[in-house]
Amino acid sequence: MKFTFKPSPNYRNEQSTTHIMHVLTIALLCVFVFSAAWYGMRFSFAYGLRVILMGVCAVVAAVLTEAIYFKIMGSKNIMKDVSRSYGWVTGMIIVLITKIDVSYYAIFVSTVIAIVFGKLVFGGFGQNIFNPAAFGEALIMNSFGASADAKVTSEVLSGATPLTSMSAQGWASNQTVVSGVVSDLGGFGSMILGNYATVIGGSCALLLIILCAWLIYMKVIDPRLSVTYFVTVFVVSLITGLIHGAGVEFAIFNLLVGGVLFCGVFMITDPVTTPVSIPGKILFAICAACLTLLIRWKASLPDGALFSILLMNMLTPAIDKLCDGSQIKDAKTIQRKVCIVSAVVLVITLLVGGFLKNPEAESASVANQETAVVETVNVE
Amino acid sequence: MSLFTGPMHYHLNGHKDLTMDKEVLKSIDPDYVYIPLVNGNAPCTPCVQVGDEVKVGTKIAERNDRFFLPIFSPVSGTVTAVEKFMTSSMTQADHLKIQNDHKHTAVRAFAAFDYEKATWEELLEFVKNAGMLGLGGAGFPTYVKYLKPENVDLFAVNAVECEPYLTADYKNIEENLSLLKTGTLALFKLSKAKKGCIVIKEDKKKQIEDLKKTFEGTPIEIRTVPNIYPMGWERTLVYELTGKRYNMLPIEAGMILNNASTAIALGNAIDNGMPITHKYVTVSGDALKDPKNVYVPVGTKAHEIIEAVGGYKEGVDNVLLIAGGPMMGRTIPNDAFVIAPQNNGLTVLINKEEDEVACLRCGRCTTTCPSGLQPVRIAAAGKSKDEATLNKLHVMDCIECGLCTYICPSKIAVTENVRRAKNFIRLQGGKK
Repeated sequence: MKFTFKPSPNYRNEQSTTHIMHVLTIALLCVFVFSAAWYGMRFSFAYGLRVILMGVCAVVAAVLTEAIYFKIMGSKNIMKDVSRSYGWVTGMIIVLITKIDVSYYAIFVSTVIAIVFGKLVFGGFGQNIFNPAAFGEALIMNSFGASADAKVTSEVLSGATPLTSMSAQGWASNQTVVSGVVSDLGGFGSMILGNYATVIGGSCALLLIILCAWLIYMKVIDPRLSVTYFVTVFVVSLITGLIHGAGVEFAIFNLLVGGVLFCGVFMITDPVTTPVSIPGKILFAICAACLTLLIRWKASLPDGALFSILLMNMLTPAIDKLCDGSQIKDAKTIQRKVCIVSAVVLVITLLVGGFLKNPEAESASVANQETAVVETVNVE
Repeated sequence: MSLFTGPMHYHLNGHKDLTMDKEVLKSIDPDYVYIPLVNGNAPCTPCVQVGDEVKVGTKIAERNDRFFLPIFSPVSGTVTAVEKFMTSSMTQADHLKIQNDHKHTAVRAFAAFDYEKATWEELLEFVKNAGMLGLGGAGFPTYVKYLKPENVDLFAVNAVECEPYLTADYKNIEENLSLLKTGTLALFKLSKAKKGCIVIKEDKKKQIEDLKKTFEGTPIEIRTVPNIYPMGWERTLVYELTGKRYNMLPIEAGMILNNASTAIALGNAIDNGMPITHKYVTVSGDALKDPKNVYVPVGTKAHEIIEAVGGYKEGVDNVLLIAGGPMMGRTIPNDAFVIAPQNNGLTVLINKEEDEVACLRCGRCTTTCPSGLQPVRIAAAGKSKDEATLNKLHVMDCIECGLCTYICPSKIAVTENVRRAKNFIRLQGGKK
């Protein structure tokens, strides 16, 4: 009998990282199936197929890139290393947060660059600073805008998207504006069921919420990140909405449109690029939610979910450092720091939200004043 | 658990059904026993010579530095040698080798004692001279805890036994309820506590009933705690019972705790006048043919116990032999070590290679750490030998309970990384 020495403990939980990634892959496949089916039925079979082919294209690009990387690095078992690097998840997410008119070429090149420069140069899985999928999609948005398939754009994305309509109104929306945009999409019911075109995986709120619950139940994603993110988006836009007279509708609208739900389930929960401690995770999610809304409301981009995550990724090491210490002995100090930073971020966002102005309404009121002045002059 | 902290514990599969309902094997009577002449890190001085005859209950050694602890012979026979080999704590120590004459001639070690009539001082003296020590694993002399029992609100007998596989305490309580009652009431008196209780996991329904019947009409309450690890650890248990955290000793939170086996041993000393001679030991694990509890003399060699319970499963040729349970017990690279008084288990597991992948920074080690530490951050700071950060992260608060390694989905030996960081700080002479 051989008696081996191993340091304690010699008892392991069943759940493994590979298991976590497999469950995540199944959840992403569910979104793919829904999107392919919806595009297939709503437009034509070719569009359903296009969703699948875009997915295949990204996954092949991701896996191939990693295989070549491991080959160059002199890996002894390339298959094993690729299967432990989980690159396909990045590929799948890139497709689901992009729009259907993006060309295969753009998907392929962006995925390769995202895998190489977003992940492998940092040392591979677990070492990357930026969420590689967000990195890839940022590339598509900024570098491949012109490569979009014009035919697809005109057939599927011809109408104004909810985000661009709201953006045109400066987000300073009263009840009528929000109701108008929502009813253009077929009402909240239609939005929840995902019956409109937006980013490929982001439309069906119901599916995303079910998957979120399932992933939490399977202990694959950390509820603190998702739930804090959603709650912050909802509460901040609720208060902003109330200031402008739109209230709950404005809050629900902000939660449902764009990438908020998809990013909140699949991207903000990427453990590699988010803080490890619980206060850190909560702070991360609050800041990401505020940034999402700030970018959406005031920046030139229609949606902020993606870039808010990328920006927050940069701050992850700083947040980790902020929350260093014992959760028992330093609990109060850490909580105080987190509360102060969160409060500052929340107040700034609310102030910005409170002073949102509708550019059309503003120019109209300026015109009114001018006429009034003119009239006064006339009277005199 | 608040918004900003994790649960700081985890439910794990205890595999206790392997041994819980089986008869305890009591026939083991080795030809030689080897009594480790060590308690904690302190050597003990033998008070018998090679060649001396001893009986069951003869005092054979004592620890006499800042603490006092007598050690008694578990068998009758002849002292034949002093041998040096590895103990179950993986240190080299002298062992007193006693040849067993199998006659079990006993000598009553302590005179009849009535703890109810005795004064507090007499009782403390009795506990000290009876060689009582923490049988939960620490082996700390019991009387020391009771030297200054001021403002003790709650006295608790710890019958939680949260370590997986182990059922030795459970079996010991099951067979010795009346001794437990004597020992618990005596310790309760010694603690001068306002309230007393026995703490047990809520899933041990039958034993809870037995305990309730036994302690009916006494001031001792039976309190149940959830089946989670490490509920048996003093800090976690004190927090569960009182909601208080403490710095060094439970008495700061107004509590004194002792293991149930210790209480039973004291009951045995009071009722029968006998010291700790035998131990209930759980012999379990997936490498064994027939896991069960055994009742053996202190100083029995591990391989004799394993043979006695039927040995290894067919085809098993590489095992982890663990003194204790798989979470905190040490793997010993040979089977020649002996059962010390504080040992309560031998876990034998098939040696499987873990499939380690990169850390994904999920933070599970942080949410489950019962000491409230951040093992993943400690491991990183330890690798870069960053002394300041390690101290900021309170690395020395780690008790090596093993939960961070257990929970890690990437199968990284997190506890070992933290242990290395602790050793690094110790070498730097860092603050505790």
